[in-house]
Amino acid sequence: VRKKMAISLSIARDFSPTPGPRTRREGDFSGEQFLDELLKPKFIQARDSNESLVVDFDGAVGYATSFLEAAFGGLARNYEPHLVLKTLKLVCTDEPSIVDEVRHYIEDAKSKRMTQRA
Amino acid sequence: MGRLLSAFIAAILFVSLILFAATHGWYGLSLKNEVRPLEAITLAVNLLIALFLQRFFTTKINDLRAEKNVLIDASKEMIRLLIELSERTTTQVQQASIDEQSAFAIISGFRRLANAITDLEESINMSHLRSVKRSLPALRSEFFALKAVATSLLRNSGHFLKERSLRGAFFVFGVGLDQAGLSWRVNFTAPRTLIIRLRL
Repeated sequence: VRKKMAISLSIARDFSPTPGPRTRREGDFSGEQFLDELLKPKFIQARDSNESLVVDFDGAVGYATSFLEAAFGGLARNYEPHLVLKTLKLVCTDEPSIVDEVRHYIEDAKSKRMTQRA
Repeated sequence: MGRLLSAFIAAILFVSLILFAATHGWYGLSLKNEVRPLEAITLAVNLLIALFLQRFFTTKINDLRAEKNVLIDASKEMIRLLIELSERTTTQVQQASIDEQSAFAIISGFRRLANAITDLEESINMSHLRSVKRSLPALRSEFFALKAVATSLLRNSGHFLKERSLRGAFFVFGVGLDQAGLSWRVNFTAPRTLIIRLRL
């Protein structure tokens, strides 16, 4: 049995230890910028190679709701939310509840998509 | 402890007096020096039951006390962080703009508060407070709502924090605490003061 590999993405190391607001217009290191420059390309890479994308939240100062929603909710609005949930492995020991929070934004994006379709 | 000792000494004195009177045949009392095995066994069993019950209740009371102490500590820490965060954010409401340092202080304040809530949740989950356990998911979602209001506009240009929405979010979170059955009384008397009284 071939073991499923994983691609790793550390927000503090690969993006910024001080993640910012929702959009580029609002400031540096925004959720929108993170989505476009790192999260989306890595997600596509993981999806195409049938691997997991391990997103590590540790090491950053903290995350504003708007950053998390723009990045992860944004990803779930671009791709199928169930695929996003299946592909992403969220890791955070600094603030364990971040994992639930991000899952909530992905789920929420899912319900918004369903409402839009209806 | 002193009362218990006095009661014990009084009981010993009373029993000694009765025995003394019975030995001398006073007041029509008499003492029969006879041991009945069945009664002796019954007495021994009764004594063992009494000792067992005493130990059981002592241990249980100590466990509940320890559990309550853990909950009180976790609650106090959470309340302390909530007050600190409230003061920090409400101060920023009046400012025309928020500098980066203050914004990160607020975000890291929310991280500490989130972790304090996680600690409290773990303490409650390990405790006997079944009704409180059921309210925890609602409390967590109110925390997310509070964080969303306080952090979503942190770096916007113009008005950074909307005072009304922030006060409303703190109020809703406070109501959530109360509904969680944690016996907290939350009182919002002024924009900059958040008084939370712990009644545990």
